[in-house]
Amino acid sequence: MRARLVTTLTLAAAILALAAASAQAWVNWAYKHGIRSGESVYGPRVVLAENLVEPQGVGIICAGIRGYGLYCPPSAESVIFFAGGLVTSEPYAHDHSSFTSGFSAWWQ
Amino acid sequence: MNHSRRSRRRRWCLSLFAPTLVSASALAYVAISSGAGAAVAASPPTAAALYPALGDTAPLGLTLSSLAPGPQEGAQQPIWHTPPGAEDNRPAPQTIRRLPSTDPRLESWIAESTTGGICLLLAPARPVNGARPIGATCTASAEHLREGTYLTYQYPESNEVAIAGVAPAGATAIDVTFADGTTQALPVVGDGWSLQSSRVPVSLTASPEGSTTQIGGE
Repeated sequence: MRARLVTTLTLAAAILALAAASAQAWVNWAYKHGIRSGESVYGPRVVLAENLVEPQGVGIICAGIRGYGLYCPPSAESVIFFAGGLVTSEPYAHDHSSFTSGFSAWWQ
Repeated sequence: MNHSRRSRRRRWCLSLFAPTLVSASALAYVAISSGAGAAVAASPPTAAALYPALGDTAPLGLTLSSLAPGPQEGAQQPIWHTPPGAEDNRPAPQTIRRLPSTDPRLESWIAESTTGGICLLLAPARPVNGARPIGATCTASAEHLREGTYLTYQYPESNEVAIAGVAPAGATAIDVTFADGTTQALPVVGDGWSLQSSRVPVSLTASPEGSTTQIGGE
């Protein structure tokens, strides 16, 4: 009886941990993607809460979620845009510098 | 015979260790004369020493959540997601502190980054299209810790731009120059400064001394 209870609880904990891990998995939507000065590159329309943009190079790359705004760093640093909860929209990146550069980005 | 053997052994020891001792002495001299000794004596100031706001105990006004994000729930205050085991450069959750507000339309926070840099988090004080957006950026390392950082937020379908920053260490004001040629001096309060405007900011200069930073780079 006790062994069955322990097994059930362990299984439940494993399922919960797996669900949490999959719910928090980052999805890469751009990998070392080129971007021109002033250009915005959009990802897929999805249900997301967060857009993480990392520059590849020295360009200033901003992180946006369409309809919710755009965050820009002062230099070639990564930016995290958290919408506070799930929204249906598109993650995007914007080149805020005066030259062509590159970036990688993830949503979750 | 015994004496002679001991003497030979002493000479053998000397011949073995003398070059090692000479090399070690020479290396120590080179290290000290090249300044390595000085580097050990004068370690760079920590983020907490440069930015007293990191020691502030005022209410955070921010919900930290390590849970997977759920639907928008009309939260009274912004939520910052702190995923467990995150390996990228992001604000260290336990170091996040609220910066005094210098513009009632904005909220901002300072934090140490997970890689030794300094971070700025910025959120509009009111929901945007039903969401509570919040953004963060961190400098990559402690190398340019004194220079502070900042973040701009462009509202959707609007000309309004929000900008907030951690001022360079020792700065008392930030002079903002806008695209139309006008300028505005912003006071630094508790290491922070912020502004929301429909004018487009193009450069920042820290007072009393500091270089000018072009927003968007050179």
